[in-house]
Amino acid sequence: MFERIAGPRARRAAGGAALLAAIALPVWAQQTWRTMTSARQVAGEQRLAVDVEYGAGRLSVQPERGNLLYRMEMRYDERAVSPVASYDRGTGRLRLGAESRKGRNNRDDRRGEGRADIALTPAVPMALKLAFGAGEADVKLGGLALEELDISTGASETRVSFDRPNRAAARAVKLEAGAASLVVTGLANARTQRIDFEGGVGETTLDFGGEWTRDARATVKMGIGSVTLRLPRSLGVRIEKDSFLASFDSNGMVKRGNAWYSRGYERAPRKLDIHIEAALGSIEVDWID
Amino acid sequence: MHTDRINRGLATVAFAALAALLGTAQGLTAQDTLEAGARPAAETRRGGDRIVVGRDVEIGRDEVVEGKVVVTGGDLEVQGRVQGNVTVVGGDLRIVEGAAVGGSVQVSGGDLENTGTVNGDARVLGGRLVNHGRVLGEMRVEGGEQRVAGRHTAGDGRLRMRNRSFLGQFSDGLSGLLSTIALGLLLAGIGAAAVFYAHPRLDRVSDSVRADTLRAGALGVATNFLILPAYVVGIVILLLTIIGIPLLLVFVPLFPILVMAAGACGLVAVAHALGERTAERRGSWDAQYRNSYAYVFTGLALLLAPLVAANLLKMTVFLGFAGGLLEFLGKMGLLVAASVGIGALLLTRAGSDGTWRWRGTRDHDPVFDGPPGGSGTGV
Repeated sequence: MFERIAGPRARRAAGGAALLAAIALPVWAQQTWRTMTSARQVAGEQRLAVDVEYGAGRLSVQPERGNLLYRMEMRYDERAVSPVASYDRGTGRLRLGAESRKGRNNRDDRRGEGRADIALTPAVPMALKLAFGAGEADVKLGGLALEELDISTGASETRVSFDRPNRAAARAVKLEAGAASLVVTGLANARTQRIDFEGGVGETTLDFGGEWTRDARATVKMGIGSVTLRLPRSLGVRIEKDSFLASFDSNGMVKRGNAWYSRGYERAPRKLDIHIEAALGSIEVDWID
Repeated sequence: MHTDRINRGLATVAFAALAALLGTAQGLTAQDTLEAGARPAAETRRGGDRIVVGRDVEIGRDEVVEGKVVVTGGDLEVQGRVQGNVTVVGGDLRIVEGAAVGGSVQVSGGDLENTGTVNGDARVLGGRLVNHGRVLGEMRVEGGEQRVAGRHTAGDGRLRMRNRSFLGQFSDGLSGLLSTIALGLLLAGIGAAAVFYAHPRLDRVSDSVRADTLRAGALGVATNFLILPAYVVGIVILLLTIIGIPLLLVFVPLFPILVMAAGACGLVAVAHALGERTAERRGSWDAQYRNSYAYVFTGLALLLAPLVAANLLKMTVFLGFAGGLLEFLGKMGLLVAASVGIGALLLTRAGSDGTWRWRGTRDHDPVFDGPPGGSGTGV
């Protein structure tokens, strides 16, 4: 009937339009962007346990400059994720970030359209646990009061920096990277005695610059990829290596027994012992002044 | 600004209707006061809730409201104390120094300025929150901006929702244009390789695109919906069989590559069909226009032209919106073309189905289509 009235050309056009609509509508409807800001003032907190979880997008973390406990600005696709900002004053547990809605993926985030900017108080000592999935993260921790730090990243490009000394002495710093590019700078400013890094696949730079106030021990476990250790010349460094098919560029370190030692190791005021386990890739030492 | 006014107007009308409905259906409790703009009512009341519609309200310095306060279509200024929650819809809320709210405050379609104390949460929907006072709970702004301490420098607490700069938009357009050109070159390369190495197959798929467009499109759309489940099911099956786990190393990366390759081949086939149809319509029977290379390149130019135009429009900045719309339509066009192409690939078994025959209505061209009834073999 339709064909008789409208002819085959119109029928084709209608069919084409229906096809276009069938494909276009779900795509058109798939993203709804919202902005949200959440903040809370400091109210006599003594200690915090902060969990930051962010799936995909751009994440930035930095110290808060005012009198806020935290501040989070977020741009998100409300069909894919919902923001999380919950705080239990009794336990001091603060959860920030975004969680995926059931059965949804956070699609924006390969293009970096979704983002979360988080600022945390430097006034309250905290244990910070940060889990980041995919995208770009810029984590500036200098000046915070970190008693413990645990960062894990997935397929991401992550920069972690301690540009100022930690206000507290961290018991441990734990870093985990999946298939990622990870650059950590100013690790000495974390003021910790123990640094653990575990990487899957990717490129990692660990910069141990900053203000050394105590001796420390670091373990570096790497699956496939390259690790660059940037070490201050004034530091006494000892490296033990347990590798399968990984090259090691000791850059002037002296081998004694099973370990490599920096020049003047014995006389150095502060010492760093590094134990490296690497399967495949390269390990490189760079000296910084 | 217009949006704010419209929001407030809508909120006022909606809330007035709701309040009237509630008042009629349930009646007002003895302690409640409903104050409408047209009806004079007591300005001060201690105890009970306070609900005001359509005008501004001030809670005086000596006044204590024991219940909650709801104001819609007007501003609220709290100078005294409110023991319950405060809700303002379509208006601003100002809590002055020395004033206190025992519960939470919520403002929809207006701004909140606090220099007093709020014991609960402070939430603003579609407005600004400026806090110089004390909020013990969470401060949350959705779709607006927030300044949370008076001493913060200007812009410190603002949501970053500034318009893109001229340079940024130009750069977006340029980068989109270069990406489109790169895509065009890639597809042209694939198309040229397909014509050179697998011309009969390409011809069959292309003929299928022209003759069975809707069927191919429907099949392509169905395939699009099945791709992800098939991927997941494949992974699960390989995981469950345990011995198939090593195959995951091949399957996981290879499947998406195959899907993308199928999409690219589908696009090339559609481009061939488009180019062929264009040549026929123009009546260009010269051999230089009637060959499959020319068909593919012409078709690709037609398919990618909207994206090129969209990115050029975006580079002008002033026509950025039109560029965005055209870009969406262009991408949809590519998606439709890829779907039809994938469907045609399946219908003709990637062009290997020798039994597939042209059933369309075009004129037969003995030079380029080969013998009557068969698919074309000439270039």
